[in-house]
Amino acid sequence: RSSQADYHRTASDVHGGTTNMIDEMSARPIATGSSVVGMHFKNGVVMASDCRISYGSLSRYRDFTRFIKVNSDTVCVCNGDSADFQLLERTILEQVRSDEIENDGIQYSPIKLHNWLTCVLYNRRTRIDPLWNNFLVGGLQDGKPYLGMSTMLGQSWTAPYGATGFGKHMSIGKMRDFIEKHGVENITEEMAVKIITECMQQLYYRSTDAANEIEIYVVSGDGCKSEKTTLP
Amino acid sequence: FLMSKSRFNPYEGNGGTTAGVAGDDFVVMASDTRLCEESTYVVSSRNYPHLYDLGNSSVLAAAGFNGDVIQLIKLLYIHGRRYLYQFNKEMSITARASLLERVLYQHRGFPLYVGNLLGGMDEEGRGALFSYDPVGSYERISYIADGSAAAIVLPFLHNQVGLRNMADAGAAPRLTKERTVQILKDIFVSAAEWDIHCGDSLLIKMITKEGVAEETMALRTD
Repeated sequence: RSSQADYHRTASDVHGGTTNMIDEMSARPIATGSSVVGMHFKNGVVMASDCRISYGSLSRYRDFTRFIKVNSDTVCVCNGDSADFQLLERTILEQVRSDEIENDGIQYSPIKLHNWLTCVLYNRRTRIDPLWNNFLVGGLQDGKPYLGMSTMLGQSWTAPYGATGFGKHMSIGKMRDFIEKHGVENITEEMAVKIITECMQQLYYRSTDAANEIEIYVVSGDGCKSEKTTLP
Repeated sequence: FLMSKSRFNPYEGNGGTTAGVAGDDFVVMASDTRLCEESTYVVSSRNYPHLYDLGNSSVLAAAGFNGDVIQLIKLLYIHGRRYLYQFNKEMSITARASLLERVLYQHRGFPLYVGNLLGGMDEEGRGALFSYDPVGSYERISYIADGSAAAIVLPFLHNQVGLRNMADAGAAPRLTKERTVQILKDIFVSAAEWDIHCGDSLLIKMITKEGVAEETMALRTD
């Protein structure tokens, strides 16, 4: 079976593992996306990222979506290398298409995607040829909000809040405080979107690779909707 | 200048402190529930226990690098199921202990960066506790602590469980499950105070021939 997206074939496999340059090819991310943030609310999850891809200090792509909408219950978003992201995007969407063709009612859910991503990322890390992305997988799992983090080293956990990159330092505290003060069951979609927007605003102010064109995904009982806004 | 280039590091510390005490007819395993990123001082999750039920009332306490912990648990689960389907019974704790050593040593060239404590009831009904290093070296032991705050917890266990370093220890009463749980609760409170990577809450699993019971307690969240 030939697959368009051979995420399991590392650079060494493709080129026969001959030169030292191969070892260093994946040692750093090239075109990168900035932080992503996400949190639970009463009926689902809210996740946000900006739309910029940086090439070092150059703002290379200004309207790039780092979200993958898998189905109406499952969304994932990542930071880090955009080429690695696009490889996984192709792979995931190909699997979704295979599931549609199979047409047996089995669909992706957040926990399945999260576990699969963790396996892939861990496997690549173990070959010392990582996919340089940290993922946030969110959605509704059995009707309940689900947010899982999967890092480029294959670490994996679930929590009511999650962030990657700079967001780890700046946004987690804010989301955590809000959730611990109100309780997830008292947080409405509007409140969550407001907090997430404030997090993205702070990131835009303080992180050099963040931008003010942001994309917000809300996954709830009403399905999955996305919105692009520009922060002031 | 080129020599000092930072290479991709496949490991990262994710915190976690674990402890275990084996008695005459019980084993108590404890861990905090914090998952953190040691290099960036970020707390990833406040509700990530480091105790895993492996079947047949055995509990693995595993903390270190989270990616390898997840991989190890998957491997042990698969081996456990294979044994169950092949022999139509669950692995004994001594078999499981030996298996864990093999699994860890198989990764000797690229170690699973995990500190393991395996607890369960042995075939004579006594509490069994085994402690491992990341490449599989193990011994059966009556109490041990591992993880980021091990240096805080273990000396306390030496004194209160091992009755060491006391002027006149005298004849101490037989260690009960309840006293063990209290000892662990007390020392984890201190561990959360003095170790930045330890905190949030404490999960305690008490293993007896009846099965595994659980208890939790809040710890400092800073």
